[in-house]
This record gives sequence, C-alpha cells and structure tokens, in this order.
Amino acid sequence: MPGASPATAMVDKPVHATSTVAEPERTLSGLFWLLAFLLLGEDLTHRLGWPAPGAMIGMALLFIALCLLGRIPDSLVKASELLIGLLPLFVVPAGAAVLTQAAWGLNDLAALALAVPLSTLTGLLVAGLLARRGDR
Amino acid sequence: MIGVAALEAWPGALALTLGAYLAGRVAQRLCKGHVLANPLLLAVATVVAVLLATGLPYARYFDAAAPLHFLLGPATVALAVPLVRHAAGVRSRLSPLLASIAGGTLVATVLAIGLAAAMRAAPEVLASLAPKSVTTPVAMEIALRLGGLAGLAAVIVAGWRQPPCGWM
Repeated sequence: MPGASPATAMVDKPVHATSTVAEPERTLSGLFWLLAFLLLGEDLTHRLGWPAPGAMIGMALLFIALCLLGRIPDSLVKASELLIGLLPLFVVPAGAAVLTQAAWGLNDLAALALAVPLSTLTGLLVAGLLARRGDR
Repeated sequence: MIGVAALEAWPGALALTLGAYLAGRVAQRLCKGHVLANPLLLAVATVVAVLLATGLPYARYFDAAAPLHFLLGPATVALAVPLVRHAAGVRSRLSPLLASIAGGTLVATVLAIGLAAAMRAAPEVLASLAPKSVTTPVAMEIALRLGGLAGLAAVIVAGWRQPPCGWM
C-alpha cells in the first residue's frame, strides 16, 4: 500500500492480527512465547532425562501447539522473523571454536574436503529422485 | 588499535561478532549470493583471524560473546513457525516428501561418515559430520552429544546453506 501511514498499515494485517496492539508489544509477546516454550522444553528434558536439547523439544512443542491452534499469531510471526533472520549471527561465537579445534592432521582436512561436498551432492540427488518418483 | 583488554569485555566481543557478520552479509550481497560468500563462514573466519592476531584466547572471547550465543535457544524454538507455515503445503505430498528427506539424509550421512572414516579422519571429525543434514543450531547440539565438535559441525552445515534466504 503506497502512501499508507504506519498506523493504517498495522490495521491492515491479516485477519487474525489483534490490530490494536502496538508493534513493539506484539514482537515482545512473540519473544515471550518463544522463551516460554524454550523454558518448557528445558524443563521437560531435565525432568524426564531426555537426551534431546531443550530448544529442540521447545520447537516441537511450539509446532504441536500451533497445529492445534490452527493459525500462527502475528506476534510469533514477528518474533520468529526477527530471530531467524539473525540466526547465523548467533552461531558465530560457537562456530569460532574451529580455532581451538584446528589441531587435526592434514588427512582430517582432506577427509572433510572430500566427504562434505560429495555426500551433500549425492544426498541431494537421491532426495530429488525420490521426491520425483513419489509425485508420479 | 583496540587493546585485548577491551576486546575480551562484552562490548568488544559483541562489536567484533556483529561487525564480522555484517561484513559477511555485505560481501554476500556484493558477490550476488555466491555459495562460497557465506556470511556465517566469513564471520567465523574474521573472528578467528582477529583472535589469532590479538592473541585473545577463544574461551575468553566466547564468554564475552555469550549473550549472542544464548539467543540460539529462542531462535531454534522460532523455527517451529516456518515449519507450521509449510506444513499445510506439505501435507498433500507428505509421503513422497518424507521418503525423499529420509532417503537423502540417510545417503548423505552414511556417505559422509563412510568416506571420512575410509580416509581415517579423527573420531571427533566423524561425530561432527554425522548431523550434517539438519539445521545448524540442531547440528551443533547433536555433534556435542555424539562427542563431536560444535564449531566444526556449524561450519560443515553452514558451508552448504544460505540460512537467511527463503526460510520463512
């Protein structure tokens, strides 16, 4: 909508959006729910002694909850777009650990250089062939 | 030149990480999204280069950059939203898609580990290769649990993906 003021743009959100809630509040409530499900996931893994990380359990729980709800609240759309858009940034501190792990020999590097591209391309090929066969 | 003392406090570590990642994204845009111009890989390389140049130990950098690392948790949970979004379109073609994903993942994983093992790679490297077909934060957790290296797993997975594009 060219020329629309931010206030009217907000009202014109998809039908399920609560149009009176201000933008930052919406994002904050989305972040709150993400944290709540993360907490739930962490709690479950500790309580039941599951080997899976809490964030993955939280993701599965949120997936189930949203499927049951039958729609995605706008708050969660906002918050997840924000966090997922920056996800690679959050990986950098842990990724930089390759520095401390650089003590491998040359054959480790050669193995990686061969195994990663070859297995990835073969896997993609198999996935594509299977998907096409199943579509028929 | 900023001293090591300032770099290992959180403002320095955060500025370094954010700046390196921003530079990586700009580089990717300038290279018109070339696969090798991966923002995450470029950012990791920049951070590693700065740590080597200043002599700041990785553990101290990581402690200072921990606030960014913590955000991986809620960001992983947030992945449920695009999953649900695509679930509707996926449902009609569920069985071919599941077969495709399972087959592709199995072949890629077995082949990666098999090839690396045949070349006598270290056990940590094999464990870091195992979760190569899942999304980066999940791969890091799995690699750690298998006795692998989270950093290596992140680089292995991310080197072949362009996470910011087309996820939503």
